[in-house]
Amino acid sequence: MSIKITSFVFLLTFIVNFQAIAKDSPEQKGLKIAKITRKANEGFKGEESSMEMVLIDAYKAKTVRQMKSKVREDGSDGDRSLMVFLNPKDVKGTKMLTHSHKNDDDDQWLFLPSLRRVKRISSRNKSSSFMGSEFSYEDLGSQEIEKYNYKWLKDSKTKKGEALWVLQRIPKKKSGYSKMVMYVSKKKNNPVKIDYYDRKGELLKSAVFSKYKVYKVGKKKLYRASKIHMKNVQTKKQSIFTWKSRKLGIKHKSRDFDKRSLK
Amino acid sequence: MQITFALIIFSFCFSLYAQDSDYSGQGEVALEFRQFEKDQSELTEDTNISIFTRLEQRYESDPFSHVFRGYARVDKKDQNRAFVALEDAYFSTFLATEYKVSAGYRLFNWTATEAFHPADVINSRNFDSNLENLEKKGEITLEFEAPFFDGVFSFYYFPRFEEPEYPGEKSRISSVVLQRSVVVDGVDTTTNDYWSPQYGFRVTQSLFDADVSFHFLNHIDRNMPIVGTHKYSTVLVPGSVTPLTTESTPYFFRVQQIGGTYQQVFGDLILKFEFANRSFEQETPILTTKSVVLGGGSGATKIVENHTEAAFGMEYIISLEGGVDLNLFAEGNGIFGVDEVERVDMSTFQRDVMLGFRVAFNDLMGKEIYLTAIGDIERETEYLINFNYTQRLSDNWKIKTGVRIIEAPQKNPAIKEGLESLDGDSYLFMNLSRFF
Repeated sequence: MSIKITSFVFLLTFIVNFQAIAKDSPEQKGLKIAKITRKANEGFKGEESSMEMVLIDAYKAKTVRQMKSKVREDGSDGDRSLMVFLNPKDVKGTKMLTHSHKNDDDDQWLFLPSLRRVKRISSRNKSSSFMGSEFSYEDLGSQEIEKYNYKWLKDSKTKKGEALWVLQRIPKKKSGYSKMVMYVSKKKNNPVKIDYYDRKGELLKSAVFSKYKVYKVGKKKLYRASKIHMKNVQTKKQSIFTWKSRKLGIKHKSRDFDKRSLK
Repeated sequence: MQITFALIIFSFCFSLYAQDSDYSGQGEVALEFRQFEKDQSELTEDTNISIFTRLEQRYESDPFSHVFRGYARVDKKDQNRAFVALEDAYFSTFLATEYKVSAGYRLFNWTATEAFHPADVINSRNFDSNLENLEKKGEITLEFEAPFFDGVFSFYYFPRFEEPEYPGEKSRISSVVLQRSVVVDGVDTTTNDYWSPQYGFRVTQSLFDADVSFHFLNHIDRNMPIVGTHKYSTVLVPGSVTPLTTESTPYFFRVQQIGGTYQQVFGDLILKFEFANRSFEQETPILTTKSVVLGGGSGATKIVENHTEAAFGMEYIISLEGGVDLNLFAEGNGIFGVDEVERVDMSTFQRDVMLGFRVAFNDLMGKEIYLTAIGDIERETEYLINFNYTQRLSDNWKIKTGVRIIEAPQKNPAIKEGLESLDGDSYLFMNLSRFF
């Protein structure tokens, strides 16, 4: 008898949920998927990493940039991050402190080592190139879901058979892009590819996320890409962003992300 | 110089003990060339060729940190330009997680604006550098920092006055050869003792999209000396003040300063404001070099007048196609509470406006164009135009070239005032730097 009741309740729950999903508009479904991916990527507490970026021009000439960063998860209103530039040498020691916000513009400060000056900067212009690369500050900054409108386009698969959601993401505020099309792995809850469209609506560049590693923080498994290959289809330039080292679950102090940390 | 040398040796020894992961270093060597427009004098050098070196080493292992940074310049044509300056040479440590104590030479930058800096007064300057952003020298400092709401409270103690650097007799920047600076602290103007207790505090806060700071200082002013002599007689020639020496000496006075800064982001616009109210110790009148040139008189001696200096600025950022950033600047400053004659004596920029822009191409070579024009809105035909072009030549090499045009025709044939002392000193420059 009790097995019959349990089976009935399970069946009823399934039907109700199925109807709820089926009733979702593409926009609602897109937002739900974005929330699922956010939840899956939360809980890293703190991150410390060193990165390298290889810039490749249209003639295949290469230049290397290096930097390191710290991120502190701040559940209430966006993360806090500190990036230190190491190469090229003339900008070595330049630091950028960002306090992300879910709905407002981020707070950002730049430390200019030659002048020993901490300068408040506007975070509104995110379309600028990051260190001369094909990445913009917008690509590498916080991706708070409140700052975008989402739309589910379709389900798909990679060539290797990995199940994907294909989402369209449109920035709510000023952006260098009219839209982004994201190919999100259902297993990793992270993108494997993002196509960026310029303000005229034409494809500008594509980023391929690869070399995913699994990190364990407490009982949680977190996927992080170790390589992002950005190709600008209009200029034929490329940039490859790789993580040389990365630690998750680090408990950073709050003082590591106040303005004192810039000096 | 002995202190500098001892700190260099000490820092070197310290770096030997530091682990690789905790220790980092960087530096710069630059060949600097500047060519002034020709003048009629054979005493001054129209060309400067110098080597500039800056070294920095840093040790960071929570909760301790140590920074050593300094620079040096030698000029082939003008030996007086040779000097070594310590910028930072300090240790700091956190106490009880959030409280920080630092001791040693420190370089501060309290400014919010690009060209006028009334609140940024701690460090002594090298007056043979760009007027809008003079090079600084570190000051011996004991600092205590504590968190305070959404900011920091800092207390400072400065035991010593660091003497500014002045252009020498061959320099085109100055026409007056100055004696060693004198600190006026109390009524004793006869010693050059620079050890004098100075202190202050500063509170910084982040409020929504704004950064606000407020400070109080009781210290020896570093930026507004009276140049002249305290060696004069009022009895040799009745009704007149007679100098007893031909030497010109900069006198620096103790001052109580209240000041602050404000920066707020409104989308693409950043508003900036800074101010300083200064109350000087006024017990020692100085016979100024200017008064002597103008013939003296019973009112020839002067004291530093109390005043308020303020600067206001805006920066607007436009992102252009291709990732190019255009920053537009507009700033203005003023000295209030004194008349025009007094203002001119106090500062080169006493009631000026600055308009400018920076184009950052954000490309592989970091190409950048920077143009500013500063004009006096109180005095006729006084302006300074600064144009720079910068780009990397490789990951290690960088070139910076440009021109500085100064126009400030002399109005009183007997004496040069304010920017007039730099009239005819326009120059081209090129710096080739290697970073490591």
